[in-house]
Amino acid sequence: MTVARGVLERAAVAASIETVESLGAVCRVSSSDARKALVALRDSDLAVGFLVDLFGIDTGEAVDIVYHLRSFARDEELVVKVEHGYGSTLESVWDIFPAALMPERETAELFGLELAGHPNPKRLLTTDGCPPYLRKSLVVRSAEEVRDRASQHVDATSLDRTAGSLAGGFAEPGVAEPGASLDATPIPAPKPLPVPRGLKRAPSGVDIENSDRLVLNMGPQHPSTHGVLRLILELDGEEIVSGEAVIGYLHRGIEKLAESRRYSAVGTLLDRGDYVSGIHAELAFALATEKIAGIEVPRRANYLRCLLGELNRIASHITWYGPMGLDSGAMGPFLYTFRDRETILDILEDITGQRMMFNYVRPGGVVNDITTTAEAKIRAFLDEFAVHVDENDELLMGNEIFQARTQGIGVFDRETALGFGLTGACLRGSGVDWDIRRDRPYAAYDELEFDVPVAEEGDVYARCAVRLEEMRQSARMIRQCIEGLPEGEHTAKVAKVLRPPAGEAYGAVESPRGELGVHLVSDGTDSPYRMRYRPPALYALQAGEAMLPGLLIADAVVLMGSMDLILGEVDR
Amino acid sequence: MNAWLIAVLRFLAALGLMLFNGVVMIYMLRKVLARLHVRLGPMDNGPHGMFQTVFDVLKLLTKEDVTPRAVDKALFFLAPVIVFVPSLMAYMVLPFSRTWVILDVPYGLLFYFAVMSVVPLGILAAGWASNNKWSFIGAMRIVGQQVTYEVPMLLAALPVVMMAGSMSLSDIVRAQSGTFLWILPRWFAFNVPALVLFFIAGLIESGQTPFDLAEAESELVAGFSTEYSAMKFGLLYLAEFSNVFLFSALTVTLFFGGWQVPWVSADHVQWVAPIVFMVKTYIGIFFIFAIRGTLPRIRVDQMLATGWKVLLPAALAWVMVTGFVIKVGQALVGPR
Amino acid sequence: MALDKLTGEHSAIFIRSEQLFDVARRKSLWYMAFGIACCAIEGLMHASGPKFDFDRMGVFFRASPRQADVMIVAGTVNWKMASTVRRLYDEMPEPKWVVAMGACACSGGPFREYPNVVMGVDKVVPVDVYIPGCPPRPESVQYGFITLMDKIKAQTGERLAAARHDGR
Repeated sequence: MTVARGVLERAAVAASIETVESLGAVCRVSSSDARKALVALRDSDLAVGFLVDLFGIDTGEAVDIVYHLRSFARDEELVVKVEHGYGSTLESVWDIFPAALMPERETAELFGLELAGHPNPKRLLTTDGCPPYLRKSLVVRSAEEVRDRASQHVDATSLDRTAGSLAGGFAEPGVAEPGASLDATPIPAPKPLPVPRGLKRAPSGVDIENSDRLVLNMGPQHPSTHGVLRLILELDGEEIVSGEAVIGYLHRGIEKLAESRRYSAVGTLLDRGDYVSGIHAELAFALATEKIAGIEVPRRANYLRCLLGELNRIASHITWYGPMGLDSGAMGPFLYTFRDRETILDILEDITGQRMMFNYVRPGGVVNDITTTAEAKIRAFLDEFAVHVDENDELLMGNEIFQARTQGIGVFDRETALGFGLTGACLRGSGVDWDIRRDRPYAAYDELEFDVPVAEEGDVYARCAVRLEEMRQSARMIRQCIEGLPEGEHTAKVAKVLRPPAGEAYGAVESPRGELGVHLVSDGTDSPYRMRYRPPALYALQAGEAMLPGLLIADAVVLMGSMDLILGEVDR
Repeated sequence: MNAWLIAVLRFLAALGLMLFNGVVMIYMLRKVLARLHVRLGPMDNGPHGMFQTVFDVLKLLTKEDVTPRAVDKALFFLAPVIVFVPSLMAYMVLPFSRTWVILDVPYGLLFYFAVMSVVPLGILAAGWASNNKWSFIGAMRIVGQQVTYEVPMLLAALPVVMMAGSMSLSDIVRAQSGTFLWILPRWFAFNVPALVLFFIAGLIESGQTPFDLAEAESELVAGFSTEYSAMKFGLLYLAEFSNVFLFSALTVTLFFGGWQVPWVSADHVQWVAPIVFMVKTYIGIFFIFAIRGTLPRIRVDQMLATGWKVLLPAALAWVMVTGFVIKVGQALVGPR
Repeated sequence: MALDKLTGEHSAIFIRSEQLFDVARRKSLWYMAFGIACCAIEGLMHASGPKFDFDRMGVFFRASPRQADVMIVAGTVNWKMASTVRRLYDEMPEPKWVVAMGACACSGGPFREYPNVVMGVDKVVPVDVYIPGCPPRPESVQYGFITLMDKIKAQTGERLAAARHDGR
């Protein structure tokens, strides 16, 4: 913290640094100094070059823009908060942290800010005319309005499906050169990261009539894009010249609705965010709540959390693996792996009562204990799975056609991967050895033995190989959990209606997609004040979008498949 | 009988066979894929789902035939016809037995290739006329694919022509009678490189996985047939399966002795010859469908590169080798 | 006229052929999966998977709306998505049906309070079968399809009865 203070003093930035309990060092700067401060912090000894998350909090008087930074070299985190008045301008930091591209658009539209200095200042999640949903002044529908569903009128023929401009009007999509500064002091150019060419020539700005390029629209309904993702591709023959991802087709307000749910019910919303790995999302929220409320989770509960988390990880990787095969045309792996997924869902149903939306991990522990039938099923599954995973590995990964389709495609080197905020298998496939289970252990992971697979090539095949090996490691961990399950309670004594004291915390888990974080602000009531869900798939999506130029259509499909996107999480 | 009546009956037989094949093959595809994928496939509609394709076709007959406003109407209407008719014509030269050949001409193989090379034109017309970028890309892929592989396919069939001494399919079947090395039937399949080259080139020509780029479902929605509904789609769908049958039948004719039964003289089997031919063809089709359910799809530039850089030189080389071996054999043993 | 008597609305040929086509339509429902959200995993991927095989009933997946009979709307529809849903529905050829799968497609589901969410897909397209659940089990989706098949049969019966009645 003192280092940060020194850095900021040298950069002539007025800042206040304090330590918030359960969050760590929080540094507050004014909005005019924000860019200077971020550059100074990034380039100093602190080396906080990784943007974990960028989001906003409506404090009632202003909007706090939060930059959550991390330094891998020093294994430290730093939170920078910048206060913006309602309706003011948010200056983009995309040239400092390319990972900020999409989060800034989202924050600006959901809080009603203007966006400046951004190459693509369009709305991300909503259409023209939508109000800033995350502002506290906007209330969700009341129970009466919901009951009165029949009177909601929709003129189906005049619906707008395009991404609209941000309220207040903006400059046309412009070109912001890396290193260009907005105030007088020139900012030193960072090591050049690939400028998303797709944003320099946003396909919607292409003069279609006079160009011999084909503008192709993939999605939102498309057999391959995993979920409702829309890719606008500008093609030269079959080669992609630029591409833009349009999302928001599944924006359902998980973050906003969490502000009107009790703490034990927020899990129902998070389950439906990243819907194939619900346990991890619930766990991130539970961790954040437990940090604020100071709840101690019993050991057995932690083991159960790990057990179901790893089962969920295998299920999620299977849901990724099957469509990965389908994307490249192989129908077999999808069905063979779904046999295993059915077994896992059967086990999860046995324990939690639900196949997909568990609401099982709550602040304090888990809802119910493991059953004896489930134990037997898990053991049987582990024996079966050991054989199946090798078979499926050989079937798809060992196939020469698949290798020719995936090797050398969509290569992310270390700097690009870190610059775009990638985490999880996407980051480990590019050679960065970072796994939250091992490096910031939570639940019972510090007691379990497992390896973290890392690949060097950074291409699609490397990411696939990393995920396959993760499946094997998960099976190993499940066996340890089952055999070493300690006695004890499955939950701590927590009030039925939990009212944690006012505070702020960040809970992160290693979900199958990457670092799934929940930044929770509580105000002492029975609902969260602000719950921010850090979606690893959003960062993977914008990184994938930047890699599109130069690929063929078939490669684009395979690349997006390898980034393992779940649109429920991206859109929230 | 009246020659016109005979001609009409023959035509109707070919048409009937084509429709029958379509029905059986679509059902067979679903069942083979299902069993390969640890599922069951159609079960409810008829014993083991046997009537499923019949219901599918009847349903397609009664669907609304949508012609989008912006399509090229003439081409949109003609394209399925251009795809369907050559497929039907190619049935004319297949020998089902010594006498059951609709068109027994000395250039049967050439006729087959000539007629089948019209199909890419139909697919291109379908893709272009649909006024849909996805269909267009599918059509371009097909043109590239089929133009690239027509030549290797023909070249791979040339060793067979050289070994049989004729282009007539009936002659080729006749040349595969008898045995050599005392027990092995004199099938041209033992000329393995020719068989392999022909099979790969033919898989690509008939647009089956791993080369089904034109209809790559996960990439191109439904490829060139995206805008087609009802019976126009039915025709395109039927023609695709018909092409697979034709390819398998040609492979059987050229390499596996056609309607002949090994080790049994041709005279004794005339009355079961068509059944033998169909059984052999369906074994080939089963093999093609099994590949379809397993392998991933190759990328278009990789496929074109393989065609021009690998298959074409290999086919050329093998033609030369086969010719050389035949001449040497004739010099040593005397003309067969 | 004599031809009318042979093939008109009250003739045996017409009635029997309508019944035959009705059987064909019921037994060969091709769906265009509109998998928007979580229900897509359960109802589309799992229902067609090895344990709950949809293909047994002759139901399988077509990518293009022009070759589909049924549109399964699986997931939450919001203002941005609604026009795409409507457009794809319009592209499907008749006869067509819509199955609203899951609580979100039926009435907005757990997200109904959010103003960006359309409270039920029946605001955008006419729905024939509602399958509640969050997510509904694959067997529920298959039961929904069986219900749809019964509904088609009932509709054909009504149509034929009305035609017969009009003649009197």
